[in-house]
Amino acid sequence: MPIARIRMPRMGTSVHESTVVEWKKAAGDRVAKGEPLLSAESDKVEFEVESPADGVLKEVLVAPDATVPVGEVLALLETEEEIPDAPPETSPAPKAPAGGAAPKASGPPKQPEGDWVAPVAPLPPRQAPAVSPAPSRPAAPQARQAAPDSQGKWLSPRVQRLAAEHGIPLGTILGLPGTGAGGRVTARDVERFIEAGGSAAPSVRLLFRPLAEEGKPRERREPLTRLRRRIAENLSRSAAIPQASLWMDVDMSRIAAWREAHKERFREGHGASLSYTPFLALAIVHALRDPAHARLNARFEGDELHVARYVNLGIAVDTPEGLVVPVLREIDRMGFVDLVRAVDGLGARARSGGLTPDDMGGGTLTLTNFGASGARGGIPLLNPPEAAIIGTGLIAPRAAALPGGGIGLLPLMTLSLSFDHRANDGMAAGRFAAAVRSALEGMDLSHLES
Amino acid sequence: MSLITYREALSAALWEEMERDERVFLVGEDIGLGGGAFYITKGFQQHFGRDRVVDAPLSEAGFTGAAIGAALAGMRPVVEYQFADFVTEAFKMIVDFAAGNHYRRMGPVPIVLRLPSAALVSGGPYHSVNPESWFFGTPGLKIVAPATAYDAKGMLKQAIRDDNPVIFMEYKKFYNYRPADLPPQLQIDVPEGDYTVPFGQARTLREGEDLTLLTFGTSVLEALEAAQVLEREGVSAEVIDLRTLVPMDKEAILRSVKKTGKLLILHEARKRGGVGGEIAALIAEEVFEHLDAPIRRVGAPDCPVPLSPPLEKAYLPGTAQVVGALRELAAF
Repeated sequence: MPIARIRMPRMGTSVHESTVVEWKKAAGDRVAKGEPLLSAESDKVEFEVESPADGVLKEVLVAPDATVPVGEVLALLETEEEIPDAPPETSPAPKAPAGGAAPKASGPPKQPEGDWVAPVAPLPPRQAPAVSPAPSRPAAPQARQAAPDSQGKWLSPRVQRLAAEHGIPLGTILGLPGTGAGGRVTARDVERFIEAGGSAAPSVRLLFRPLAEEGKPRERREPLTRLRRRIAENLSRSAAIPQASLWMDVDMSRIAAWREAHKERFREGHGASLSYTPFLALAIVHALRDPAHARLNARFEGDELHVARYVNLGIAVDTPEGLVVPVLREIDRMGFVDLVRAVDGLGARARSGGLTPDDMGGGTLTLTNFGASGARGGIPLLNPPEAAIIGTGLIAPRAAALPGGGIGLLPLMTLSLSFDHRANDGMAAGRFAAAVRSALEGMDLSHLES
Repeated sequence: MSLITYREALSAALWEEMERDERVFLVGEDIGLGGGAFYITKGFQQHFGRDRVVDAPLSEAGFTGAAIGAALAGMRPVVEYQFADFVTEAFKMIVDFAAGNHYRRMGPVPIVLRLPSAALVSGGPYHSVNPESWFFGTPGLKIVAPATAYDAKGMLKQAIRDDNPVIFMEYKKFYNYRPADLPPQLQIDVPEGDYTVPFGQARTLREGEDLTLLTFGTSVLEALEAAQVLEREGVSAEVIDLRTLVPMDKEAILRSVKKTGKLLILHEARKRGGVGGEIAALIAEEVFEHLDAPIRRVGAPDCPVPLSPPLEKAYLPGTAQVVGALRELAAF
């Protein structure tokens, strides 16, 4: 049987080593082609190494948490078919003798060996744990096993009976706020719905019991993941920077209306969802075209300010593993559709764990969105060594003074700016923020490609 | 009306029935001079004589068979086993001749088999059994499980007057409880005179809306404690004491499950092969469309009752375990 070597893949040009996070398979396991063998992470991204072929995992050579150079053999896989000898993407000067060149001195008929650098799969969001059936315990909680796991889209027999008795469509039931496990719509929820005359008043059911489950520890220790450690280090660096913040409200009426009118077409025509981010990017680039604001698009390094005359916009993305800030490069050169696609693609890659090292680092200014959580606004923290960061809050109708007098409802957005006060003073920062606001409020949308 | 102990209630039932009906006689090991392993019949032999309070040799099969013969001849024997565990010696007598006879011979076997059941403190594997599942599948036997002094007296009288063989599980754990130490739901006045408790009627120990906790025997204690914990957490649990396993009060069970939609069955006996499984099946067959959560069971694990006190404590379904199961059910 041929033996293939599974090697640590190179995740981007500047990566020289990576760490094994977890083996998904154990020695002796049968694996299918494309199945993930292990998860690993580099300084910049997490990824999975897939099996190159059907076979049996013969030997696992590197333990979890071990950091090994790119090209290191991680495991041996016994395969039915021979895996073509792919040259490993090791460092330019391999110090080990080239495998297979010299026949081994001893041993019966040599097994053909193939080197294999596995394809890399984007890491799926970690909500669903890897399928590894835990050893069954005698008192396994049945309810939890049977609990709905698909956002409560499971209706109990009682719920279905209630719905049928009262002639409520199941679609309506599925839309109710569920108070059961995993958001399941319980029979009580349906009864409350019926009692309320068929209106789905949100219902918060209070429980008076300890948070810790019976027999479970009251505390647990969570060692920081590599990503959290990186976030922690970065924010500690940020906290050392003398930074100040300011904020202002932006009237988003025109952009909101335009976006509403065009987002369907964007999805159909370009396969991309049209968020507010591209408009913010446009406004930021527009403001930075004015040399008076250039020092907000800069990196503070040593005793120098590196002022960039290009815009690499970092975009903070919330992922199941934690916050990542991939970078859209040179957005000042992009057309609108390209920008929309780039924003959409970057977000999707970030959330699915598909970021590559080339997506990371080198930002000149970062954009972060507080609004997704429902927050009206917030004070962003600088992403060092960048000199400024812009935060945006929820875009929602708020009572506002109308230009012609009186009070009306406007979709307002609170825009905040934090800046490295060593690099810029408050007035300069405020003028930049005001320029971004003006660009958003006054943007001529008529000639945007759609 | 008075509050008496479970032990006193049993003694009173036997005494009154023996006075009431001369066909009633007692047989068992050391029940005469010794008054029985748990002194239920203390003083009986002095009063009723050796013909009606019979000290049997150490042979459960022998004295059970003799009692069945007497029952067939028109007597109403009450057989005491020192511990329910020892009934296995008399198995053939009970399942073939007591339970089966009515079907073959067209004649009833009015016999009561008193089985001191369940764990006490460190009784170990030979003195702690909950015997119901040994008999539950045998037609012809009635099986009762009184959990209060009131039931102990009324159901023992009912058992003696019943024309069928009755497996009378009595709980050693309850013998010594002073009424005042019991939860209020179990402090039921015991009438001094004659009364019987009809079989097949469950008792709702506590009304509830959110879930049903079905139990019997010693587990009523854990059930009531757990329900109280849940009440503080905003969950209202209905606690039902089955009292009789055969015949079972199907109506009461189904009514409660239809009300709450969630069911936990609790018994001290092992979960596997326990009566709880039969009840769960009944619910699934008859009121499935009323269920809002999977039926849960809490029972002992698959091993003999351990002798070591800490292991015994871990083995027996405790309040914490019931609370945990109820919480999960409530949160489902």
